[in-house]
Amino acid sequence: MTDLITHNDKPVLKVRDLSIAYEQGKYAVKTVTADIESKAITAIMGPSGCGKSTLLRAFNKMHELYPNISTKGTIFLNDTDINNMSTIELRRKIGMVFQRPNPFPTMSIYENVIAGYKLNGIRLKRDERDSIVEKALKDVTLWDEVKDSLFKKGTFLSGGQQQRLCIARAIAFDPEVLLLDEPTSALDPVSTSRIEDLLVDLKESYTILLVTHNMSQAARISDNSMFMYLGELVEYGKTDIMFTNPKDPRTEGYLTGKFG
Amino acid sequence: MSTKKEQSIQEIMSNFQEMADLVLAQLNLIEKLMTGEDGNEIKDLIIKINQNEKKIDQYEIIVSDKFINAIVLYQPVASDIRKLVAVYRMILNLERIGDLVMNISHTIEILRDSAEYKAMSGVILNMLMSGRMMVEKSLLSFVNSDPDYAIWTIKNDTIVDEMNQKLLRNSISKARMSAKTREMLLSYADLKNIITNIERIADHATNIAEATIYSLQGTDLRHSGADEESQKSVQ
Repeated sequence: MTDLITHNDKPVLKVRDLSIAYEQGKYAVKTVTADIESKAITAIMGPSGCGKSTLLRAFNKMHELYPNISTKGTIFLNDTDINNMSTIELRRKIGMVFQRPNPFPTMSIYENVIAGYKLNGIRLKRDERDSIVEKALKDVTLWDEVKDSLFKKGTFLSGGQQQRLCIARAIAFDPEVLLLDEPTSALDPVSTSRIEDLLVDLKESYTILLVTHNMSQAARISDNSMFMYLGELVEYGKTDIMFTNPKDPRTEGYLTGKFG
Repeated sequence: MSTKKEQSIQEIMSNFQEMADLVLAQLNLIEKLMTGEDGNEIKDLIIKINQNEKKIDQYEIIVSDKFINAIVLYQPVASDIRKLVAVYRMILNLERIGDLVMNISHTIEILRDSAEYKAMSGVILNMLMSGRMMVEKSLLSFVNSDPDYAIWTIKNDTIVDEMNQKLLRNSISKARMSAKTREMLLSYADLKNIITNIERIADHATNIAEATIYSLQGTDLRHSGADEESQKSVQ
């Protein structure tokens, strides 16, 4: 079925027999097993309702916000079962960026970047805060654009800048893994291109999991790709191989636009 | 209902098929040219071969333009991109087969009354038929998605290569002539081999240069040559 499931040399995340159901017996994710390569971009693709966002959210237990959710199987972060980690610790190590840019509307750019620390009651010295804000904004190439307006509201920024601010907020916590759920679907082509370039730069420091409907985007920036269909991980492999020579006819059908 | 991408690939496939049919027709015409005796029939065959060659050149340009459009507009992947890349590679080869048919046609026109040609035309015809069958089966393998025909073609390449090595030398060796003349002819055959290969190298250099112009200016000089008009558009 797949050639990367358990063939990564240094997986940062290991998924074993993961099944998630929103209602009893109705599985959104079915017995998924996969290793996620460290310091690489892994794209998760598939038609609407295939379980890709549910799988992504399971990595930092965001899916548990839904009532009556049932989860079987295990996810390991560096060999630690994430069920044995506190939610704060887990989400500190696995950050998330959503489809629509969502800076906190009442907070300034500066406060948005360190919001994770503030909301979790972590006290920092002033120079520590300044240094974290500057580094995170520099890492997302936003520093030069906002350094003179750090105390303006984040919502004054353009859509693309707001999304980079959200990525800065996620990496300010210095996570190991970044989860991105269609991070460019609400952005124009230029902002999309900047975010894509940024993600390619960020993979030097972080492991990135990206849910995308945009197959060209997956082809452009991801190292590995997963194709999910009806909750099943149908195929998982190197992106260049999957896009030129997929093994499963369902992947072939989806990529060539014959279904999905 | 088929998508625009499917229609575009379908269109490329039908143009490819038409180009392939023309190339096969050219190989059949060359066979007829080799076996024909009636002067008028020969003349008609040569006219037909020249006309077909122009159409083949046009098809190469049409299919490669459509190939570029399909890549730009639809970003094909998986079996779609493999099929398109295969077609693109094939049309380059079909166009070269077309050029070689023209070369053969010109040479037969010059040589056909000579005793040497008459003595050897039978074996050359055999070789030509083997080559034609390889082209036919290789194309059928693609159109019918039949890997067996493709493998048959690949295996037969060595047989035709061997014919190429032996045919001329054997014929010269068996001909009734003095040892000195035989040796001289063998040397000329080898010299011709060198000259032909140099000419092919120059042809490939021209192709590379034309590709450079396309890359820099977007101007397609294939089959038009770098004439004054073409050069203007480049400057």
